Amino acid sequence: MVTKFLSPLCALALLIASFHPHAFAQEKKEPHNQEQTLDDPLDPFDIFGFDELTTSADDSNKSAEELIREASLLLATERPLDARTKLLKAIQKDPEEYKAYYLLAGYYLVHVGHFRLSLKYIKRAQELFEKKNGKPPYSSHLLQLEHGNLLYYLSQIRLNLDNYQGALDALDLYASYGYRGEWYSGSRSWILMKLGKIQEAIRVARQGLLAGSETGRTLNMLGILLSMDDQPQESLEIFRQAIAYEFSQGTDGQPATPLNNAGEVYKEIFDDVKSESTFLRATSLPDGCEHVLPSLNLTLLYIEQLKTDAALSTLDAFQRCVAQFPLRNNEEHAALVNLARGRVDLHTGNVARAIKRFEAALQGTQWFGKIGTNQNDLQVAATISLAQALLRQNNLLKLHVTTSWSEWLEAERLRVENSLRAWWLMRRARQMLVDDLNDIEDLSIRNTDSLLEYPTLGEVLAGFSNSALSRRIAAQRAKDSRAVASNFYDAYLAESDQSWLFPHKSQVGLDSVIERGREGFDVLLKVHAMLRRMETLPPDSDRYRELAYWIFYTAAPELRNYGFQLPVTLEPGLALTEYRSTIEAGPFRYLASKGNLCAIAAVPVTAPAKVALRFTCPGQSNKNRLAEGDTVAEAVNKLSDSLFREEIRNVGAN
Amino acid sequence: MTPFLTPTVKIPWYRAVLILRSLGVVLLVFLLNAMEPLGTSPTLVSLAGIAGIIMASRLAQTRLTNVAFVVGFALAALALSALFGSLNYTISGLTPAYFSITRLQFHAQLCLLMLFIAAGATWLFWRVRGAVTLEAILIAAVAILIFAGHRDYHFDRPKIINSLAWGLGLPHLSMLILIGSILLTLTLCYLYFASQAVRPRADSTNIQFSRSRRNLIASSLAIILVGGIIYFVQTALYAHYNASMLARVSNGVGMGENLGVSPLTFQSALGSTNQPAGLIRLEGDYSENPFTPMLYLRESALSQFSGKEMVFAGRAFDTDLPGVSPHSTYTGKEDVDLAPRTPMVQSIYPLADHDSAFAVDYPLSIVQLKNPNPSRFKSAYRAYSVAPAFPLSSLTKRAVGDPRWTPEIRAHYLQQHPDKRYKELALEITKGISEPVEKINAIANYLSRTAIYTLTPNHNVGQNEDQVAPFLFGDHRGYCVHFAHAIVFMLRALDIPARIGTGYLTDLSQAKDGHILLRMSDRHAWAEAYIQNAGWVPFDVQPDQVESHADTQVDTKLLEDLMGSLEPGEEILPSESVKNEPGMEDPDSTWLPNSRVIAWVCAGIVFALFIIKVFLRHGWRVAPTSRSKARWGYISVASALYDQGTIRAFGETRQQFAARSPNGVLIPLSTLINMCAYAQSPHLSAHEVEAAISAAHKQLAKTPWWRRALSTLNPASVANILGGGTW
Repeated sequence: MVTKFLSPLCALALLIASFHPHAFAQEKKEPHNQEQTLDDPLDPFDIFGFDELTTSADDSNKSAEELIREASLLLATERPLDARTKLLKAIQKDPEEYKAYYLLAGYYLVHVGHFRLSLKYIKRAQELFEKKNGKPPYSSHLLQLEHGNLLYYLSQIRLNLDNYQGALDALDLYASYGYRGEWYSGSRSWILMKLGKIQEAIRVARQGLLAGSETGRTLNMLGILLSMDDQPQESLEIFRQAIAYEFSQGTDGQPATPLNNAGEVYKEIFDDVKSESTFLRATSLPDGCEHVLPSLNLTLLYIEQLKTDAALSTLDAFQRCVAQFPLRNNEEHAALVNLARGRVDLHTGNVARAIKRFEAALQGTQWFGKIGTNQNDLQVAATISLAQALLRQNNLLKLHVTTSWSEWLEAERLRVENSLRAWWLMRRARQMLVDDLNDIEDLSIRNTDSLLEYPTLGEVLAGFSNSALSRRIAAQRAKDSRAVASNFYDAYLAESDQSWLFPHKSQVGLDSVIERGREGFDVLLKVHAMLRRMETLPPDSDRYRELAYWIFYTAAPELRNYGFQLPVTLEPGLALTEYRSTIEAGPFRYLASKGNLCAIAAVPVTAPAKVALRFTCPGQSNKNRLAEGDTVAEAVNKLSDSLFREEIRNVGAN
Repeated sequence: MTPFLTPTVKIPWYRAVLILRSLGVVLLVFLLNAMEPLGTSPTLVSLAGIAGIIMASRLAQTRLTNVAFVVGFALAALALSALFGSLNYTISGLTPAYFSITRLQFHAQLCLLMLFIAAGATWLFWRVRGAVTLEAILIAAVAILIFAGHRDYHFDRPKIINSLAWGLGLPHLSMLILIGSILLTLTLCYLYFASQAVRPRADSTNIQFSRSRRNLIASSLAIILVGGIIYFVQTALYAHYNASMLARVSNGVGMGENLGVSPLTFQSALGSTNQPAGLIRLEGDYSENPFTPMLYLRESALSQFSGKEMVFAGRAFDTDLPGVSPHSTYTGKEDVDLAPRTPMVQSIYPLADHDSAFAVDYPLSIVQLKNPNPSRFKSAYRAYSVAPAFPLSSLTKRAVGDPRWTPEIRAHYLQQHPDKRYKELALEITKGISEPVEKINAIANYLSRTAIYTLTPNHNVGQNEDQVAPFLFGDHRGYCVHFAHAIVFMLRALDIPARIGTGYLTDLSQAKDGHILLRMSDRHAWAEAYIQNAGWVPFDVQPDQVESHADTQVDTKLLEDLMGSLEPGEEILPSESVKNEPGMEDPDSTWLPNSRVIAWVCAGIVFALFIIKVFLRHGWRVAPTSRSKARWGYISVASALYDQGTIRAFGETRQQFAARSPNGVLIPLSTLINMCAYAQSPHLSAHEVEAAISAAHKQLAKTPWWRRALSTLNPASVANILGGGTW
């Protein structure tokens, strides 16, 4: 029954291991009744007798060496908990046996991600190894191999603990004894990259490829390095080779990784079409949901294009995929998924839910493993998004028609609380940007490692000193030749000018950004810039009307999110004086004698409602709405929600 | 030269007020920093606050007006903003870091903000009558806001309380009450000292007040009273907590195995509490888990129908349950007819009190383990279970019930609800289905489709009425307790033996290294049906519609912390080997004192106070000159009188006080002091001074022994000198 699931390795283990008396039956009775053990080790009716590796009762009769051998097989057959238990028993039996510590270090490094504990085990393993075999160098090939593995684990653990110099020192030691492993070049170049030695890392990766190091991994590494060295075309060429190599490996290959990396490079060079198709290909592959990154990258790309439905579908697909692996730890993606879903909620007008998502993203611990993004990136991004969501909620409250004093008082209390929280969060985000992220190192637009929402980043940057920000952006421009990126920098400067009361400069800047923004791609940037521009315009002006309607037809929720009213006409023949003040307390503004505006009209009601409002737009029938309520206020609020909030499914982020 | 900066009067308790206010600021800053990182060193921010307190206290004693104070601070804030603005404009361009000034500005801003807040509050304290009351209300409001999360037993909000409770080995409620008491005591002390202090401007005349030995008795009584209140509040809270709230706090699924009683509650559940309930360590993989990724841990089962709800049936039935406390051992009998099953070993470390041990079904034995951290874990045991290893789809064609059961047992598991509607609905749902297991699935699926998960169903139903009917035949809003009852009632109506299992339902995908942190929100009740040769199998509802979520994120930091306490100790992994390794320190760790540290600090404070008292009494012996000897001799006697309740009143001259002292004991020493103060060159011999001091002490020795004993214990004289009082 059980054996059919075991891999050949495990079957081999069963052969290797001698038959033992009935393990589990004995174990479960052992503490109380030693006589009740079953005698026949080959009893075919005993369901526990088959799985020799998991039966633990006889472990007391096994030597530490046997237990370690079994644990190795269990680790190889993806049964890590059984292996861990065996290894701990082996340590109890022989505390001086380094192999158990070594395997436990590997277990905590690979299966658990508990790096501090892993380091403790590997250091202990090292001590015991040297105690047993003396100080290196070693003449025996077997000892050399084992010593090399210890050093490899040590460097990997240190790398994961962000001790890059320590990791490099371990690799130097490894090389100094003349050891060579296929992984060496890839690992070394990665560590060098982390230390900022990009040129040296590229050299090591190229040498590794020539020397036949792990081809897929080293190609990937080289591609990333070339991308960081501002050589996108060369990087894409390397990724092409990496993708081809991974596909050539058949089911063992992992082409989603280089595909994701290539997608990131396309994204960085603003080739949105190729980037999208590459990410789509990566997510469609079997290994595509191994990591959250391709789905996350694709989602963030869609959000920049304000394709919220597509963004949501991408996240749903990822979560459906990951649900196939029930033992995958939530930490791998929960915070990132919450962040991405929160942004979708925010841009679809579901602000209260977005706030909850961002709070969950901030509270959650994200394990980033070896990817470039780190906890600080997530913290900063989620903090900014949460602050933005709180400000948006204040706008929503401002445009919500209250029907009682208590409702008004509660709304005002929430607005004060939100304002204070948003102020504090924006302040913290700015502090983290300069402190933890080294003078906004992620300012390079679409930096792969960053989780910032670049189109709306200007909102937080505007809080910096105008002169310091100008200098920082000037420095960034000097090393960034991408034309599209320049539009983003202009947007940041314009927004900063606006907040530092340079209105003319700001208006010119924002108009230029709106003009130059790419249709269909930089939608969020354009919408954000338009909304900032609208702040400087009188609501009765033609330009205000023009921008408001562009946004209304493109991304209606954003208009209300930013606290702007849509100019509308009120149809004559109604009790307009009675309705007008309530309608204007919501997200609508009455504009008389202007053609081509959407209109609100009171229409006959259907019981039990007492008020019905019809919203119609000339030439845009998909925007037509009918809202009913007991009061005008209720009808206005319902109309507001149906126009400025997109209903999306409420899916939990695991 | 600057007369308006000269204090107009010497204020008693001035220093005490300053110290208490400063302590308050430090506490507030560090608490805020623990809850939300400030981004600036809390020590620096605290120092800024203290500076604000001192500055405002000095200014408040001058002739500066309120308007001038506000304008001054506003101007200072503007000047600083302008300074940073100009620095940003000029200097930041000269440095390689673009935001070097901005970086400095962030820290300076926060410090200044704290300085302004502290200074403003202190100014109001000294200048405005009633400000103290407002301040006390504010402190209470802040305390309530901070600890409000703890209402409804959310012990993780703020988390620092949880950590502190564990560090000290105290129950959470006791910790909360202790903190409340400390806050109350501090506020009372503050109010007391604040009421004693004289406002130079708010009060046009100095207030004369008297203190006597009654203070000592009153203080003692107050301490006893506060202690009594704490005791009774704690007892009452615990009684309330245990009796009626546990079920609510734990998803509606309480604990207890009293015959004929249900530990479940129908009206509402808290659901989202993140309070840790236990730690499970899986000692092996469980790849055959038919409920993947969920894991059911059964604690008890309710199989008797009371006429209204399912209740505990007693030990005659449900013999598969261990039914022992987490502190006991258990050996069960293996049912060899149940297959296929797989061995499953779990080590369980309850973090909250449990009446019964819980484990994956069926536990065959429970053995006690050494508790790795008794201050955290309530107990430690290892359960050896034989867990289901069959896919649920393999059960489809099986019969229900156990042919070995006696008719009584079978009848027990088929006790039906008298309401015919359950049967009617069950028959309607299972129309056209012949296999019993398929019927069970159909009923569970029906509820999954139609039920709305909510923690507040708020059905309008009396205590003795059927609590399930309003859910099943009404709005379909409910939680696990309603779902489980509804399934069991319907299954029994179809002659399928069923009962309710209670315990925990946890998500294995949230496990780390096989360790699972159980929370109160994981407590669960589910329906079980007996499938032939498979045993009791959970059939749970997974509602499509969710109105309120019970799931909360696992506190991974706490999980890692608890995992750490199970790891091999220093003898296996000596810490020396990783001593100099970067990255080993926990970046999020907050140092919290344990009970030993607190005991040592308290002992140190008491010892320091004792030394001060000894010095007050005997300092004259080591005074180098006869003049200083006279002064310290006077203090020695005056402090002794102070502790006995004879205190120099505010505005009273030293001579008046000496004349008032018992038997004029202070007169000779007061004369000596005056000689020292006013004579050009007093010729005082050390012998003469010592004789006067000894005479005064001899006079003091004539007071009754009990008064002397009490005065020795009375810390009033020490408090007076620390508070800047006079003798």
